[in-house]
Parts: sequence; structure tokens; C-alpha cells
Amino acid sequence: MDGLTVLLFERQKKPRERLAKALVEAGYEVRLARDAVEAAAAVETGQPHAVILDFDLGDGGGMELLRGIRGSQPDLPVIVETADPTVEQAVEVIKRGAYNYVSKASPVSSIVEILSHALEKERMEVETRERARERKIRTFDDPASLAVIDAILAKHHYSGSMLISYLQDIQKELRYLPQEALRFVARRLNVPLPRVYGIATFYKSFSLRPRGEHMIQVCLGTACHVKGGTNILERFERELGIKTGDTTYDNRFSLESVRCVGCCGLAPVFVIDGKFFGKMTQEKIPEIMGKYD
Amino acid sequence: MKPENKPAKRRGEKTENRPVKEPKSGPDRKIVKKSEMVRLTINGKKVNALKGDTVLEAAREAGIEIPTLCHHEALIPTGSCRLCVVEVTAGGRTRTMASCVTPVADGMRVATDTPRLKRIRRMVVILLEARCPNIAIIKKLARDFGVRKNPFPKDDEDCFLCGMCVRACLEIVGVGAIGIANRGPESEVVPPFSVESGVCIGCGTCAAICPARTFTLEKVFRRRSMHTAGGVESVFRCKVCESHYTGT
Amino acid sequence: MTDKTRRKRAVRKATKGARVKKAPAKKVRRGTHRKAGARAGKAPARRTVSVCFGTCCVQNGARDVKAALEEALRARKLKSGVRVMNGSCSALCDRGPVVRVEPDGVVYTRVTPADAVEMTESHLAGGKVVKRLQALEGPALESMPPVADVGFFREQVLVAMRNRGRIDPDSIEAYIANDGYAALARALTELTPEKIISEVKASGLRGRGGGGFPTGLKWEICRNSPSPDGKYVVCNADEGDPGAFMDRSLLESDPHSVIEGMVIGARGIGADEGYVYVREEYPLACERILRAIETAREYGFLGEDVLGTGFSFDINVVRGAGAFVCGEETALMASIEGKEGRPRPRPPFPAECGLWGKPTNINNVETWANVAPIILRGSGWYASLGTAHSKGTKVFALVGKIVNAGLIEVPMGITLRKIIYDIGGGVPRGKELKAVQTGGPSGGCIPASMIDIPVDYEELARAGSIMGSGGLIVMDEDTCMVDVARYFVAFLEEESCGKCTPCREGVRRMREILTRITEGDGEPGDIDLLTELGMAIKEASLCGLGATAPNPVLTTIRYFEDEYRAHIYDKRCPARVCKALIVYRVVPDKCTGCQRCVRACPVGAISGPRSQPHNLDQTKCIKCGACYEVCKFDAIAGDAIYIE
Repeated sequence: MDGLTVLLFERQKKPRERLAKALVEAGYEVRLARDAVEAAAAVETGQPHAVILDFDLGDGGGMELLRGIRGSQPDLPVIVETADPTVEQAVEVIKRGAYNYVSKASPVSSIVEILSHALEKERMEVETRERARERKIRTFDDPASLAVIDAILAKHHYSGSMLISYLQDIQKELRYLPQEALRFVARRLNVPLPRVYGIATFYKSFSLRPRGEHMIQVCLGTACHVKGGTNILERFERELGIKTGDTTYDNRFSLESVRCVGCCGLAPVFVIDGKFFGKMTQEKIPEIMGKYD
Repeated sequence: MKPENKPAKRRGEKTENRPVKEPKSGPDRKIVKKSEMVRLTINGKKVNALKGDTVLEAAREAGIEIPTLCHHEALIPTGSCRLCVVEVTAGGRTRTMASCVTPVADGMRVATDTPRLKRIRRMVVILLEARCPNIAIIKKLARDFGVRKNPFPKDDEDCFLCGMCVRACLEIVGVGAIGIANRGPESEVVPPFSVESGVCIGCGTCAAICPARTFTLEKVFRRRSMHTAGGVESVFRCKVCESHYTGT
Repeated sequence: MTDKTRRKRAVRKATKGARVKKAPAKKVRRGTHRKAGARAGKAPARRTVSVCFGTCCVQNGARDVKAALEEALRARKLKSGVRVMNGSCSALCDRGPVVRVEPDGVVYTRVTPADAVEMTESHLAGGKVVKRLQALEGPALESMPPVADVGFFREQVLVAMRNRGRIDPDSIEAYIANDGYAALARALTELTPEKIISEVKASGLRGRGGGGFPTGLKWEICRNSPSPDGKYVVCNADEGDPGAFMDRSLLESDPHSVIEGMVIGARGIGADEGYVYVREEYPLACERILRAIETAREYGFLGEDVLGTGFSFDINVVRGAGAFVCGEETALMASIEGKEGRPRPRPPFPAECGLWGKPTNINNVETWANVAPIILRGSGWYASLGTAHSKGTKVFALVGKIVNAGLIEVPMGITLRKIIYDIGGGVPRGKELKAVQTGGPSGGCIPASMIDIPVDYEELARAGSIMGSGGLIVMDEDTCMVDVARYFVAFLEEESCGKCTPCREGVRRMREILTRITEGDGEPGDIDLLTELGMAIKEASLCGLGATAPNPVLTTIRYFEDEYRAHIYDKRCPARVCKALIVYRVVPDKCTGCQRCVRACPVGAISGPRSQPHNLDQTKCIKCGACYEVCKFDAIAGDAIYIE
């Protein structure tokens, strides 16, 4: 809440003052605009974090202003206010990219709440993009990466029948199968890309998304199932806060289920980074997880 | 120390220069010499066929109808829809087999319309109807088989994975722009990564061969409007390979 | 010429050929020579201690145990009198690390490094067996007889697992010393390919992967399929049945037995190239078979001009990538060819048209492991074991609710009762046996009332199940059969290739219905629907996966219909497994207030002061069962609930 600026463009005095007061009380910094031109300018120069927009400018002016703002600042959440809400207009406005469409008659508190949601969503999106950028610093279409992949293909003389083996080796190197790698393989081997993509999606040991540093695989073979394997999987889901098949947000753990690692005498079993843990119970999980921190 | 997988001298596949010419691992009737006559019985009727024919072909030649869904003359059959099942008795054993992929053999006895087969086909149709209740050809099959109330909760898929579009694109057109991704119930026909295909030539063979195409254009293609200086143009987006094209 | 002399000549001829041909072989041989313990000029070791180095035992710390043993021996200056080696799997898989001391015939279980020191002091130095570590529950507990007399081992007849626990899996010398590759020498030098096939036919060996097709006949068909371009033999090591690990153990413990079988088979069939397809979830097995292949090449048992006879054959290893369906023959071949593992219709069969269109013979790991003994000891000997139509022995993975879990090899025809009680030691904790699941997800559940049926391909099929690859899962009164059916169907739904309608759509629908039933939403008519659907899937599916998918459902309906009815009509799970139908409750009379459950509960649903009976808040309970796991006083009861 600190340091977040909201641009409020509301032509009518009373609603403007009411809303501005509520926003200030909620901890936002408020900038006021008196007309469309000022609003547009304020968006450019003032760099607010969110905009509350009066839509009732007549002659489609509201829509034009909205388009202008979305065009120049696509990341800026905009909340549209109107005295005369209609469904058609709501659909139009949302299609144009507004975060929400509220009636001017709504209680001020609900408008403030909508605003906070909009800002939270924006913040999370920015953070996700940052992380993705960090993770993706390693892209795989640079010559060095492609040379590594090419060497793998050369090992078996670029033969098309060794496709699965290539993908296994590539995944071992890069820890997953990036799109660029698959495209390169298809080009280099002169096979249709759907075939490479088909193999990458058919076989469950391949992952098209980056995997975490540590891979947790919970065995759900029959013996393990009968001895509580599912409970163990669910416990992991709760501890890590993710669903099976996903990776934690900080990229540290990936959780998977596998059907039978062949250690049925030690059921229930899970494997972390190739290390087997047999005769497990739910109790032991937090302790074991602690060793990986 | 881990041993390296040093392959033994591997023969058996040639280097592939063109994407289509792959050594086939399945039955390929075009290669077998059609020089031998085969005598078999279908529904009690004596039928002559050529060696290399399938039971389906022999039946059709003899005027006996067997329902199919994933079969097309121009494509190598895969036997995946299982609608064309027949009972084959050969060598003392009776088995239920898909007639589109079963080669004829001397002395074979085939039944195409027993109560058991009707039951099996009906269940196949029920399963298809539960998956794709709004596709015309499935609706027709359901009517033909007297399926009124479906015991399963209905989905609303527009594709029942006959795979003909994929096979056509590869075998007939030779491009291979689309494929079946994933496996099991999650299988779907998509271009790689579900993005616009880079190699689709827009020939429309996939749409033409698709048995589910018997509904209106609006459902098959997603239409988008584009505001240009010259007015509004309709841009179609191919549902199958996701490429854009303009037209009416 | 006696058998022994003939054998000796063959082996001498074999190794002589290798020595002459390959210089590096000499170097390797000297090293393993020392490892094998036959020190030139020194007295042989008086005792051999073998530490099991199978996956389970290694993961349980076998390496540390071995190190501790060696250290203790060194400290005690006993190193020269005792040989410590890496052993192959002893099949006591749930109580590793396992250590065997020969020739005393003593097996120690659950050995820790500290135990290893005690063992050295007491047994190896002092001659006194450490009773505490020698644990095998069941009938033979009081006196500690030698291994061969203990119930678990006594009933077993080891053919495929003949070298179990006795050799270092990485030592080809040890394999050869135990009659290894003698069969191959005989096959190449004394028998014609036709004679090899007729021997295997006469033995009555049937496919051990589950299909049970007569192996000799399959070889003959492949041999008779014309192919100027060559043929293939394949070893199917894609053991995907959950609960089965026979093939893993065979590959890890005795890889050469598989190689020898394949070379013999290749000779009979006329193949010059072979593949071993190993699932990637078995990294150790893959490593061992690769190493064994390399060594076999060095010794001249593989490659150009095997044993100097002019016959050439070599083996490639291909790794799976996480698809159970690739255990199906045609899918396996597609996978080797670098495609998606989608089965194709048969005919044509692989023996006529297989890998890259050429005749291909695919057999399971255990089948291959049986070939060498048949050639060496004769088809008559093999056919004397087993029943009229199921000859020989079978390896089973005995797991689940059983006292002695592990791998066993028994003659065909033995009853399930004998397996469960005499070998397995019965059901633990005094619970009642309910069913035995055979054949994995393709098989069925045989109720306790039927455990006197002999284990044999036809008998099991008559009971509605199949032999399968050998998984034997024992279930007790705490197992819900509806949940078991749902489990297997869910597994198959994930693994289905998706090509044909009955399997892709039908198995999914079965899973939907079974899930509804286990969640208390079963409807009258569900049982009939499952049966009708199951029959259609069985008859119309394209491949074996689909065709056998309904088996768990149909057999549980056949033998346990009352459980289905309880779920559907009474909304009750008699075995108290299905979460939606049970309620966890603290039994106040038994609760001592020890607070273990309070600590174990991940959502804080249990509360109560120390030494007072606790209270379980139903609104918070997520039914994870953690409290039930930790309670020592049977004070948490899972009750069935009744829905009006």
C-alpha cells in the first residue's frame, strides 16, 4: 500500500471527494485529473500504479480514453466507473482491457477493494515475469547450446530411430526439453516436428517445463498403494503447496508420482534425486524435507 | 564407473532424407504381390478375395456392409475406432478383430453381424456419443444403433481421435503439420506446441477428410474480425493447425 | 565322455578362444581372477560373506555395511580367511541389507554397520552365529536351521534364479564357474539350430511375461519366416506391473543368464542382432546389463564370431521412457524404432513382421533366463517340473500383506496356500487373508476361499485372472476390493495409449464409475453397467492392455459383489478404506493422552490435554490417516458412517 499512486479521474465533485478520501485512508497516494486530456497526460508523466476512470464522457470519449491508456500502458490496471452500467458496455470495456467495470453507485469500500485486487494481481504478474526472465536467462537457441544438442545427435549418426534416446540425453543435459531444442532436433534429423513433439508428450519421463532442483517421486505401485502411498503423496502436496506434476514457485522441488520403482518389499517408497526412501510414513516427511533446505 | 551405452553395429534403418519415406513397421498391402486367390466365408457366403486384401475390403466387394468410422480408402488403416469388428474363426479359434486391418486367409470364416458384435458396436457408439454428443456423424450412429439414453455423463468434444487428419497430412499431402500429442484420454490433435504451424500449406485436406465435418463452418473455424483501413475483413483461424487465412 | 568332461572342454574352448583373440581380455581376467578369490598359491578363504547389492539393499545402506565388515575384518586380521563380495539379490527384499555367510548357510537381515562389527566378532572370529540378526518369522523360528531348511527357501526350486545370492553380478568369472555359458558352448558346438528349437519346445517353456505362449513354437515360427535381411531377438525388460520386480532382480543379479539365453535363442532362430528394452525406472538393472554385455563381448560370447564358431550376434540396450504400454510387443517395437509406443493390430505377428518389418522374437527376461538350464540339463529335466501344461518353475514377487515379502521361484502347480503360508509366513498381525491379486493390472483378484488352486496358466485363467508376469499381491481384511479395482483402472487409464475407442473411452468411464462408488455416489445399476462395459472393452480392444483392463473389475465383482453393494446401497466401506465413507474417531476408553496423534496431525484437528482422552474435530479432519498410523493403543478407529 505504501507508495502506490492511484490516478482518479472523476468529473463529479462529490463522488470524487468521497472516493479520494477513502483511497487516502486506505493508504494510497491519490492524483486527481479534471478532464480527459489531463488524465491522459497524468498517465504518461505521473506513472500511477492504477487508474480509476470516469466513463461517462459522452460521444464515446470514455472508450477512446480507455483505449488510449491501454495502448500506451498495457500493464496499468484500469477500473472503469459509470453512472449507467449496461451489460453490453461492460463486455466492451472488459474486452478493451479494463480490469473491472463498476457502477458509480457502488459503495466506496467495494471500489477500494477491487482496486487492491487489481494491484495485487499486477504485482504478482510482474514478479512472475521477473522470475521467468531470471530462469530463462538460459535460453537454448544460442550456438553453444545447439552445439551440445548436435553432439548428442551425432553420437548415433543422426539416425531417426534413436529419437527417444536423443531426447533422454538432451533432457539429462538441460533438465527438461525446451521448445527450441525440439525444433532443432526435428530440423536436424529431417523428421516432421509433430513426431518429435508427439514423442516428447507421449512418454511421461519427458518434461516440457523446467523441473525443480530436487525431484521427488512418490511410488504408487500396488504394494505402496496398499500400504498408504497415496497418503504420502498428499502429504507432500500439502507440505510443498503444489499439486502432483508441478514445481514449487521457487523452483526448488518438483513432485511426481511414479508407478512402481520395483522396491515393493520396502513399500511405501519415495525417491528424491535418485535416492530411495523405503518403509516411509507421513511422520518422517517433514524431517526428510528439512535436510533439503 | 557407469558403462557407456556403446551400440553394437546397428543395421535396419536407412538414413532418412525425406520426412515421409519411413520404413513401415505394419502391414502394407501395397507391397504384397496380389497374385494369389483366397477363399473365405463371410456370413455363410463363399467369397473370393485376393491375398493381401483385408476382410473389410473382401466384404465390401461381396456387397456386405460393415460400419466404419476411422477408415478411408486413401489411408493405411489403423483399426482404432473398433466399429468394424467382426468375428473371425481360423485355425480352430474364434476372435473378435477389426476387419479393416485383418488380412484375409484361406479357409477363414467371418461373421459380421452377430448379436455379440451388435452389442460391442453399440457400446462403442455409446462411448463415442458420451464423448462427442454434438457431432452429426456420431448422432447418426447413435440413432442407427438405437442409443437413446447414454449411461455416461456427457462431454462435449469436437474430435474423436480417428486420426485421419493426421494420417492424411502425412501420407497423402506429405507435410505432416499436425500430430496426436499426449496419450490416453488426454490425446489431442494439435500442431506442435499448440501454436500456429510453420509448415501448413492450407490445403484443407484435413478438414475435408474429417468425418466430423458435417456441421456448419462457424463451428469448425474460429472467426475473427480485423479492422483495417479498408473496412472489416474476416480472418479465419484453422481449428486444426491454427494458421490464419482470409476468405468468406 | 562324461557330461562333466564335455562341459569342461566347452568352457576351456570358450575361454581359450577369447584369450587368443582379445588382448585386453587378459588384463581384465587377472583383475577379476583376484576378485573371484582363487589366489594362486594361497589357501582359499574359509568363509565367503556376500552382501546383497540389489537396488533395495543398496538403498538401505549395503555399501556402508560392506565397508564396516571389511574394516572390522582388517582390524581383526581376518581379511585373508574371509572373502567379502557383492552378492546378488537374496530376494528378502523388505528386510535388507541382507548378508549371507557361506558355507555356513546363514542369512542375516536388517544388518547395520554396527551389526557388521558384531557379526565379525561373534560369527566370523568366534564361530558363533548372531541369532538376533537371523530373523525369518514363520514356522522355522525357534531353532535356526541352515537356510535350505527354512520354509521360505525350502519350497523353492531355483532355475531362473539359480545364481541367487551366490555370485557377484559384475563377475563373469563367477557366472562361468557356476556352469555359465556352458549351455551356449553346447548349443553352438553340439546342436543344430533346429535341435535347439526342438529342445525348447519339448521343455514346455511358456512365455513368462504373462502371455504364456509356448516359447519353442514362437521361436519356430520366427525361424521359419523368411528374411534375407536378418532377424531380431528382443528381451522385454519393461516390467511395468506395479508390484512386480522379478525382472529387475534378474537383470541386476544375473545379467549373464539373460545374455546367454538370448545368444542361444538367436542361434536357433537365425538372428544376428538383439535388443534389451529396459524401463528407465530401473537404472541399476540397465547399468548391470550394459556392463555384462561389454564383458561378454570381451570374452567372445557376443559379437563377431562367437566362441570361434562363425556365428555372429550382438546386443543393444534401449531404455524406455515411462510408458507401461511399451511392455506390449508391438508398442515395444515401435518404441525401439523411435516412435510413440502405440500398439498396432496383429496379424501380422512380430515373429513374421516385427522390427523394421523383419521377423522378430520377443521374450520376457525370465523366459530368457530359463533357456540355458534347459539346454544344459535337457528338456526332459525341465518338463519333469510343473504341471501337465505349465512346465518348469515361475518367479513370483510376493508382496503386500505378507510376513515374508520377496522374490520366490516355485514349481508350477504349487498351491497359493502353500505360497502364502509355508513360504510367505502368512498374513501379519493376525489379520485374515482376503484375496490374492495375480497378474498385475491385467489380472484379477482370487478370493481366500480359492487359495487351494494350483498356480498354472489355465487354472488361473479359469478363475478369471491370469498368471501375468508374476506379481502376487496379498490382501487382507483391511483392503477394500472396490478401491483395488479403482486403483488398477486408474493406472491403466493413465497408461492407455489412446488409440482405440474401447480402451481410451471405456477404461476412463470405468474409473469414473468406480470413483463415484468409492465416494459414496454409487447408483443402482452401476454393477451391471460395469459388467457390460467391461465385457465390451475386453472383446473390442486393439491390444492386450485394453483387453485385460476389465479383469480387476470383473473379478472383484464376481467374488466380492457384497462389497460393491455395501458401497452403493449402504454407502459403507466394510474394509474402512474409502475416505469419503469413513470417519476417524478417538476411542476414549483406549486413549492414554500421549499426544502422538496431536503432533502427527498436519491440520491440528486433534486436541486435548496430556493424559486425557483427546478430541478429534471432524470439521478439520482431512482423513489423511496420520493419526491412525502413529497411535500405539488402537485408540483411533476408522468407522464406517451411515448416510440416510
